[in-house]
Amino acid sequence: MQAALEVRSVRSELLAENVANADTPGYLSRDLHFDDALSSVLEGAQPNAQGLSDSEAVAQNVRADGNNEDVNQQLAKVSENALKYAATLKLYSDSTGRLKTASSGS
Amino acid sequence: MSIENILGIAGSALDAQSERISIIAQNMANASSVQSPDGGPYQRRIPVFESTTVGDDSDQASGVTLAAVLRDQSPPKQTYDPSNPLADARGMVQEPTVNPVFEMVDLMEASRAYQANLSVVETAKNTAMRTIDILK
Repeated sequence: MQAALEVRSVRSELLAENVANADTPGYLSRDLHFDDALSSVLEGAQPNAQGLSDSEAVAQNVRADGNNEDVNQQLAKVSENALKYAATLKLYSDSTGRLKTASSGS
Repeated sequence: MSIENILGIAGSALDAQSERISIIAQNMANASSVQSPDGGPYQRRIPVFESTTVGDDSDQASGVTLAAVLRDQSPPKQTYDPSNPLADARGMVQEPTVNPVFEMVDLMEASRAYQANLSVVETAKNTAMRTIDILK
């Protein structure tokens, strides 16, 4: 679960970069494949470096200035990513909560 | 949690977009400036953005920065106004190429981009708060 949170937070960083560079000529948006990134984190690889090399520049709808950004799409991804982070976090805190109950013995 | 990175990235974009807005304001204000310190009419300023690294050197996070402010090199607009002391022999006055409509559209785009980055900051902040809350 920690690995999933790690991947979510690396992804949120990538998405923030995408939104920031929405008007930068020649910038191509980047993203993670969740499954690939998760397995590389689980294997103990550097999540950041691995995540970045794993990310793909999707060359679609490239505008005249060499940028393929769609800010709305990126903002939707930001929300989605934050929501899934919150969901994973909830699962994690519930499981630690159960451990706490068990160890308190009452 | 890479909250500092996200804030750095979005913060760099907020900086860049607000500089862009101030350049637009400068262009709008000088839309009729027929004289400038460099001689000739005011030349429209054009902001150029560039990706840049923010945070630690080891980090590959890329924010955005205002790399350069170029000047519009297109020939100035000519208006016939022989009574103007700045008019040339044919009675033409050279005016800036600033088009207020273009500038307004650019302004809207810049302000939308600013809002988009602000909402990324908001999301990152909420996520970080929730993460801190699991310590309760």
